[in-house]
Amino acid sequence: MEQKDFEVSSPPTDGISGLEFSPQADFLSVSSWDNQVRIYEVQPTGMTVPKAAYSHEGPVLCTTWSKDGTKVLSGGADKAGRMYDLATGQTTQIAEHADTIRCIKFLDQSQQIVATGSWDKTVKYWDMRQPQPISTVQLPERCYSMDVTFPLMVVATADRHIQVYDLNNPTVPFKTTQSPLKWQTRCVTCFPNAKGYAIGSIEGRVGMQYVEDKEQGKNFSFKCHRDNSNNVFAVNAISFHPIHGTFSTAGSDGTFSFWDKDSKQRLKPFPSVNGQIPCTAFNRNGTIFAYGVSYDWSKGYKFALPNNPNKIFLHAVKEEDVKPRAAKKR
Amino acid sequence: MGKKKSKKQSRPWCWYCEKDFDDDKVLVTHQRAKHFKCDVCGKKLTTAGGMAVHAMQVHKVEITKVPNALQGRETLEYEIFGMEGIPHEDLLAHEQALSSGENPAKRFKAGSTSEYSALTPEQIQKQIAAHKAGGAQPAATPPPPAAGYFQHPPGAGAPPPMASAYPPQYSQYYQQQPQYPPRPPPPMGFRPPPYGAPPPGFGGLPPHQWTPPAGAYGSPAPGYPPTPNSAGMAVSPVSPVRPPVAAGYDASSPPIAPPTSAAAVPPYAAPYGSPAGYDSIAAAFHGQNPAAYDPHAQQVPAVPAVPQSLAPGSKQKPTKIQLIYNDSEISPEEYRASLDKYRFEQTVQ
Repeated sequence: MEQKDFEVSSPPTDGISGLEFSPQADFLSVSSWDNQVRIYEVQPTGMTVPKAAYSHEGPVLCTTWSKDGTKVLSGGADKAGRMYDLATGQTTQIAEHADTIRCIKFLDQSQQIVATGSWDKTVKYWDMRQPQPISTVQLPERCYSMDVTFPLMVVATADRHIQVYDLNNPTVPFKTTQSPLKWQTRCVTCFPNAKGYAIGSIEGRVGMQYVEDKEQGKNFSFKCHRDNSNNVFAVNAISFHPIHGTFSTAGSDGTFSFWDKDSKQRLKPFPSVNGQIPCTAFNRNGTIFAYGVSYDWSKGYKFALPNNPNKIFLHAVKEEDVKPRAAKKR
Repeated sequence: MGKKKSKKQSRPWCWYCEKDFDDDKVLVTHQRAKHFKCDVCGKKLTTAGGMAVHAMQVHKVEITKVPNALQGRETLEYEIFGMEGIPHEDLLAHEQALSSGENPAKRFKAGSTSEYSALTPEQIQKQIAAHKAGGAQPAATPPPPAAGYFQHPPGAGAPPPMASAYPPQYSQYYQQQPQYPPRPPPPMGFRPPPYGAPPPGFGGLPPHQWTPPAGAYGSPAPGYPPTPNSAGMAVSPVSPVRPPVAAGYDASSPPIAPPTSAAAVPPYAAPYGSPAGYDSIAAAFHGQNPAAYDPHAQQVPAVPAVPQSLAPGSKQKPTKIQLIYNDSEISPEEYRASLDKYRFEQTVQ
């Protein structure tokens, strides 16, 4: 019998939009449609303790940690990016857009430079010490997803556009391209080695894209998050395992799976969690896999029922489920 | 006379739907996609039997009919792969249909009952010749397997499942041959191989395949010996109609007939004047015009009733995928954020 996943206590009261673990300790920050960002401490027993919370003036759509684990960033529908300092408990507005901030990321080790992607079709770079952005980059469309693994930054927008940036020269797109997938992009996640990125679409499909031209031949995509009756679900989240470089996908079908892109196989499928999974995250050493279970709006407002779960689970990752495996003979 | 698959019949065709294709590869691809695809998961198997076994083992679903097949060709009985495994008389029938310039597939469309009687003696001659050629040169479909069936010691009882593959006509033999009575009546009484190969993959059929017939036909065993087809599968109509025809070709038939049937079951040959010959002709007609072939026509509706009840809901054709979220323009978050509940009211700054 599989061990049951641990449920995070005192979860958000509305949809869960983002999860991220601290790079330094087992702290989890969670952004939610209830305007709050919550920070939990995960104890070795699997128990969670709510540590802190702060609010935005609108739904919060993204959250991230600074490298040193002292600050939490978040952005949301109030068009603001905010920084929470764990040491002081102070919240500061650090970014501003003309529309909802969909994504927020730290750029590098300096812990001062932040990128925000917004539905106002821009990415802005901020030095947290200054009220004005260092730079604004125009996007072809609204930013839907963004990920950074230095020196690679990938921004996915509406209409399947993808902008790849080399953060050594962050104001000029290194590459402007279209999603290899035919449908709306849901999520992009950089490979841990920054050689490429994984992209998920609403049409149950994930693409692996390498940045370098000479590695284009390794690009591929695969289907996932589909059921037996031809329902195709959105791939809401892709998270790479920090140690093994394998990755997870999670979708509107309420399942998540672990995969190995190099041997092109699914390492481990998991059964449905009875709800949609909007976001996922591995902790810093890949021993915990956190996933939110809450309605992701994939079926419209009609299915936004008061009794939809809003929960976060912590899955104790088994080594054999995430270790790369030799490619199968075909 | 051309041997089969010579000049005129060069295009490979699909036994299940009577379509022809440019080459074998396309045919096999077609079969995998159309007829051997698992309804549940979409996996494409290589044979119908393989699909049934897959569905049984993986999904616990019984498949009793080959999807997208013409009526009467839905049986899983034959292991057909490309052009391999097609019952011999169907090959002949197809060839015959082609040479007479008609679309083979049409034969399955409507039941013009006149077709049977409309056969001219020349056509019949032709068929016989074709049969001869086929019988003498069993290139693709080796008849011998059938021989195996016939050679079974009558009392052995080993082959009963196979017997069921045999057409109603055979019931005549049963009548003649008391040793056979325990054989169940044909469950899938269509497209029988009168002497053709019992499908090579026969053993691969799920055993459950064979259980329904027994139930479906009531108690075949007891009622069987005296009147072979208690289900009224129109054996009687056949006998009165056919014998004259058969008799007419008696002379030519015996040598053609698979030696086995003559040799191994001589008793029939004598009283019935070469049942094998009779059957080959019957088959020719049968192939030519199944609809007009009474016993068959009656049987088709009768038999599928069994499989249908066994295949719960497997018949919906899910070809289109359904995107749960299918708005390619706007993300679900944007819709959500536009709700009053979530809309951010800009405070005066």
